[in-house]
Amino acid sequence: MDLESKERLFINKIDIENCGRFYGGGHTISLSNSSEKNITIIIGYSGRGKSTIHDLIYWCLYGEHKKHAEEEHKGLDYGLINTDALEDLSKGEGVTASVTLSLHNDKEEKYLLTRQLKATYIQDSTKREFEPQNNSRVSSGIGFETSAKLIMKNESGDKIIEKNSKIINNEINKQFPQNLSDFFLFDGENLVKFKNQSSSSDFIKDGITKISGLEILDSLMKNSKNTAEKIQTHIGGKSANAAPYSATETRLSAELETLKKEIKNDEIDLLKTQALLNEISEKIRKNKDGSKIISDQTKAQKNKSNASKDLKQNNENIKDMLFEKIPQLLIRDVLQNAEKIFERLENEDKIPPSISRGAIDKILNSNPLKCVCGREFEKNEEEGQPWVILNKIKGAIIEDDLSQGISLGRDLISRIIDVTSMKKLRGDFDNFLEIRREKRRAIQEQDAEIEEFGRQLKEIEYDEQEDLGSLKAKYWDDYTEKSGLLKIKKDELVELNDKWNENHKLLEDALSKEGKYDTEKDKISLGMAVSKFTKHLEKRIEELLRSETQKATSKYFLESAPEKQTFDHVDISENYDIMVKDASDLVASLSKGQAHVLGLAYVAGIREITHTNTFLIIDSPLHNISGIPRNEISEVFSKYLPGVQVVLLVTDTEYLHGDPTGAEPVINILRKNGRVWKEYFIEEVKTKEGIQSRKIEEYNDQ
Amino acid sequence: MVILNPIILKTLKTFLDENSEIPKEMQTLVEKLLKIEEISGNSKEGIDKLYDQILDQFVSKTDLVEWSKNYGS
Repeated sequence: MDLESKERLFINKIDIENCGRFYGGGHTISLSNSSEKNITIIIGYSGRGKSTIHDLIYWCLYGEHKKHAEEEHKGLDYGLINTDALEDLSKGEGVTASVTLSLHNDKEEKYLLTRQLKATYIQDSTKREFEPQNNSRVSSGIGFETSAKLIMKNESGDKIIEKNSKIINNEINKQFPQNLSDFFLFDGENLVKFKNQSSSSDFIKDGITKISGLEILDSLMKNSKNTAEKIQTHIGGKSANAAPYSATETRLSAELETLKKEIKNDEIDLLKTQALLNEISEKIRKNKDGSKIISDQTKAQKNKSNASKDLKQNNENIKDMLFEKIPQLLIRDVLQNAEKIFERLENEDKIPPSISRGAIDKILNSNPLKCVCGREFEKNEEEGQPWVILNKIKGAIIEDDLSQGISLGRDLISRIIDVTSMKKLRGDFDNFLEIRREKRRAIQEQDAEIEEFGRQLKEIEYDEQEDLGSLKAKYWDDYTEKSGLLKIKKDELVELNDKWNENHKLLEDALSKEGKYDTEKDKISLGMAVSKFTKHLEKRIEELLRSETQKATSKYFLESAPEKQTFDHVDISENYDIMVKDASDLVASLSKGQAHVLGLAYVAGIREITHTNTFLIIDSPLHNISGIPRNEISEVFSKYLPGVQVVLLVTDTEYLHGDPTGAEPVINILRKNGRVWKEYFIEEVKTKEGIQSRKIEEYNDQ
Repeated sequence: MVILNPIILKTLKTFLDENSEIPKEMQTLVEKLLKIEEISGNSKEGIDKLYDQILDQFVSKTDLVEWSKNYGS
């Protein structure tokens, strides 16, 4: 992919003061700039502040707090500024929290970036409210102020100090694009998602959207359509004929917008429920009895779904009978009489030959040849003879619309009479009723079976202390209800779209009758076309990036995965499901360790295609991994990602100790390969004043 | 300010090269509108006016307007 390469930039030093659990100043961490010993480790018990360091780097770079998917900060009393320092303030006093990053290229310090948040106790207040700058609940009597300072070189090579936060943000974003931050400030919890195709798909889609900057195209699509609609509303309002349609269009557009948003949210919600359901099913499948019951239950659900479809079709047939055949039955007598009249008229030769092909046929088939009036004549094929003339007349009649109309009409009457035979209708109706009874019975039976399987699932004893059967039943009900509601909304959307199009046509017609506003109408066409064109363009970019991501992820996975020889390639489907396949193109099942490596390969792949040439800080890289898979992943860290400044924020348990299921202490694996530069340990300490704080020290295992 | 990924502009060009029925002025029009998006970033104030002005500049491109009428409908 032809994206500009960037110079390699890395963090040389981090200085933290009064942030989170780090009270006071002097909390400094130097990171490796070596390509050989490229890994720095930060070890800490749970809750010691590892994730805080990760999030503080993000805050320093962008001046915003990193959003975590499942966190709700608004209720927390712990925020950016150290809580003890904040709570100790007296009226008129202030405290400043700051983070400084020294960012280097291969030659020198390129940026020295400091971001500060100052809190000042202004007045007494018992009220506590959420303060977005501090990202926590604080007394409303405290005022907050942020500032930033960037020391860098200007174009002439002189050092300058920049304090304008907009300029700072632009400069930093050029080097460390915020939309790519997930790929250099990575949350290890996301790696767990790669064990399951559907739970990783959102993450992959989100990644592709972010790296391509597709939000800008979404905005272009929306704004060009909005502008076109506004012009339409404007000219529609001026025209008396078009005004009602214009008002309707405004209303329908707003309704469409709301409904689309609702559908999008519901779809996300449904996917989450589906992921939960899959997770539970997966756990149940691991149990032998559970696996058999789930398989039987799935069959019963399929049978129920087929019976429901048949029942729906049968109901349609009954409707057809009620609304088409029954009304026809009511005019059956009239039609039968009409047919008799036709037959009699034809037999009596009272339909003039010019419109009756039957009459001509009668003449031509008579022997000896006779006219309808009884006159005989010879079968002579010479030009001008009655035989030839009659044949010509017959040919003309066949072409004649009127005679064809009559025969078609008769044909239709015969068919209606045939299908509306009382006996036949009664037979059909009885048959439909029987099918209905049978299908309803089948659905009830399948429902009972599904319920029974659900009950059996609840009775199985699982290794984990969870009632998986009940959970599955709950999620299944939840999923069915949500998908049903989603379908209703999607049908509403189709209906609403049709209404919009119908009204839009009327609006266009009303405006074109006026013969005015040509320029405006052209602008509307341009705006609508840009919106549609952008949609196609966006699709194309998504496809392109999906295929590039797939290629790059495949490359890294096949280089580093445990038992990599059993795999052939990685596939990312149109729905962004990620699958590892073997040489026969069959989807392979991945161990926890392999799935984790797949996630890392994806991160490495995205970094490659975006030419991200900077640090990779991973918070909890071994999240939820134990036993042999942990050893395998540690090997990956120690062998791959050469030259990349890697910082791993790990717990002491995983880094320093093994586990009974075969995991070695990670420290042994990483040190063996000689890639670790320094290890730090975050300790809990008390200051002279008795305030709890943290101390970051080099780890010494001697 | 939003950073415009070069891949968008590159694909825009390729896409138009592959679809010769789309008038070439579409590239300039989309590029101009993307520039507005890039500069305005999250501030949406007056964006309609800017869009309106750009569309106004392209009304005289008869081929583009005619194509748009068929394509957008």
